[in-house]
Amino acid sequence: MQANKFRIIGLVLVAGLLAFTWLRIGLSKSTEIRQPIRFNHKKHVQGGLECSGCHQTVKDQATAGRPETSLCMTCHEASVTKNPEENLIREYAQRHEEIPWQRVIKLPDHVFFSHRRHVSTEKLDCTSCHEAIGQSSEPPSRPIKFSMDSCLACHQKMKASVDCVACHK
Amino acid sequence: MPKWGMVIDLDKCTGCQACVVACKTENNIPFSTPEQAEMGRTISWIEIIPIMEGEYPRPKLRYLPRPCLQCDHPPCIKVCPVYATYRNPEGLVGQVYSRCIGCRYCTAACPYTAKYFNWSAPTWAKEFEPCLNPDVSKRPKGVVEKCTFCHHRLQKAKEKVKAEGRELKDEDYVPACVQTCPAGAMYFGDLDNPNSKVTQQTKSPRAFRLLEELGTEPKVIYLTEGEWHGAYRK
Repeated sequence: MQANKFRIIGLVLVAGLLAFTWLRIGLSKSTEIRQPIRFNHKKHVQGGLECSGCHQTVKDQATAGRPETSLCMTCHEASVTKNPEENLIREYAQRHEEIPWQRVIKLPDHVFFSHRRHVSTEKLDCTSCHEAIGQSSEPPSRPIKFSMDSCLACHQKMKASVDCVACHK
Repeated sequence: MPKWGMVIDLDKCTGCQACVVACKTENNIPFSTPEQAEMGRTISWIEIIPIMEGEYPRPKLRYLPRPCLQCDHPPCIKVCPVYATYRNPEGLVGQVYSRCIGCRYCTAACPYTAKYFNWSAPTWAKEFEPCLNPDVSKRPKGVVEKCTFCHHRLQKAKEKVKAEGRELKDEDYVPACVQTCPAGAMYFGDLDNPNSKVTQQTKSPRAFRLLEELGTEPKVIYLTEGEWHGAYRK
């Protein structure tokens, strides 16, 4: 009787573990982000480009903006590297298509965030929130998440508004 | 810190509903269906309440535009169990949709019926989607919403004046309803500034507050000729 009980508990535990692993693999696959081009932030920053060179609306709009193919082509029309990924840009340009960059940061609908307010008005550096993205040689494979705690910690430190409706719309 | 307030001159209001349309467009308020309207589920952050008096052949019809009155002592915030509605330092009564659990205590507590519950998820025609205001969220099913005095406009105004390196003036921040009113019956400004137009208007003998005896101290002040005061207090 006692042995049977242990066997059942064991079976339940194994089934639970299997279900958990299966769920995790499933979830991680569904959240995985694959960019159309393996963009190297580090190389661009080392080459002397500023963040606003590609994210052109960062200083005057709520969203920072992702570069259009034509903007990439201003530098990459002729080959500047030996990386085969670079050819992909020209292929998109030949087809007159925009590069389908995938979003890595998505704010919830109830939050309003303005890049202009933070970058132009308050003169915050991009690394204050985006940390080491400029030093990464691979695009992020998972969505980047921001917590309200990190926003609040900075708002309290900088004596910015911590009123709920200042950010929640 | 400014204390934002509104003055509505009822003697000028023609009941044209332009403020209602402006508000609905500005704040992504979904269109109501006849079925929803029949059940009293139409959302209208500012509502023109008609007041009928007299009988044929001399009927009288008066209009009372009613936004959220942004009370200084709001009964709605006292009953909210989750701090989803609160009075902010500038005196505006905020509504945080992501915190709201939809208990509707605040809807019941508001003596001015200025709070609305989302009985269904909002929908718009595909053609209308590009017209939605990105500065205002689309409220999900199951939360309470209300007029915010177009708070997002205040945020933008603050950003603008900071960039220009000057102080915020009354004309920098105006809600959509006040901006639209074709009769010029609505005024908006800082009630703490003794020189502002709204403060001057509140000193008028025509000024009164809605259901003043409740002690809610609303920051929407109405103006009308003396003989009409009593009718609005009923």
